[in-house]
Amino acid sequence: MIGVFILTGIAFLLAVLLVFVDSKLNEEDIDIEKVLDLLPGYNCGACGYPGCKEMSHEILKEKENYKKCVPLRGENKKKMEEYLYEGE
Amino acid sequence: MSLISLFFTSILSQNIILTRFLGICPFIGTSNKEKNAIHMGLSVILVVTLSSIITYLIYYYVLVATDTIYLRTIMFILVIASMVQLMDIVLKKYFITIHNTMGLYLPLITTNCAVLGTTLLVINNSYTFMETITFSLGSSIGFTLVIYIFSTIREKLDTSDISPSFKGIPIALLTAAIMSLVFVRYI
Repeated sequence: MIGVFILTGIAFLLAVLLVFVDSKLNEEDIDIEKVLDLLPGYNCGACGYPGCKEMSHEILKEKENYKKCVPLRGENKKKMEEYLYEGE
Repeated sequence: MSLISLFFTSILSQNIILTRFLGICPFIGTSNKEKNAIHMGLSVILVVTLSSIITYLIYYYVLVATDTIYLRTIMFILVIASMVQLMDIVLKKYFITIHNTMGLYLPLITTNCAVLGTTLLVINNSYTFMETITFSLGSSIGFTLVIYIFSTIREKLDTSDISPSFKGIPIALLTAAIMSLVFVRYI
């Protein structure tokens, strides 16, 4: 009987650890799909990354990186800024 | 002194892949490119060392203390799976490219028998805590070393002229067999 409690207890502890780490690492509210949508989608490489997908990962790490995107101008740039900084 | 010798035996003459035949799946699966092999090796070092330490503590301070040793296997698998999951989360966040290139082989570390093998060997050989750390670090470094050497050989094999019946996996397995001889007897 004690085995049931031990197994459940340790499984519970591990689950808490995983949930804690996951929520700690993914606490930003920026969604990668949304950022990818807002980028021009030319995959031109002018930002220095292989394509828009890689660029969107960089934006997730550091918001300022959206400035590296050369074809992102005017209305679209404004939309991106609004999205990235809406919570602030 | 014995710790140092344990460290080197677990890397070389008691190598986990070539003398114990554990972890053959990632050994063949992720050794086609040098880069993949290094990523796999580093992930295995992390998972093996962390899970050996945790399973050691759980085994001696929880299972033995409460007389529930029969839960050993499921408990160890639980710990290993959690460690892999943890690494999956961390890699996805900080090293997305590595996460994508490893693909299916990352969650497959869960069932990599090199990992469960190391944690069980630690218990079977009744190592102390320091020996556990040394042994698990040594075996996983041995794993990385062999998978890396093997991947460089396989990259070379890709460009060399091999008879069609040996191309691909057959020649890779033969190479592994010869490497195994080298490691066991120090030729």
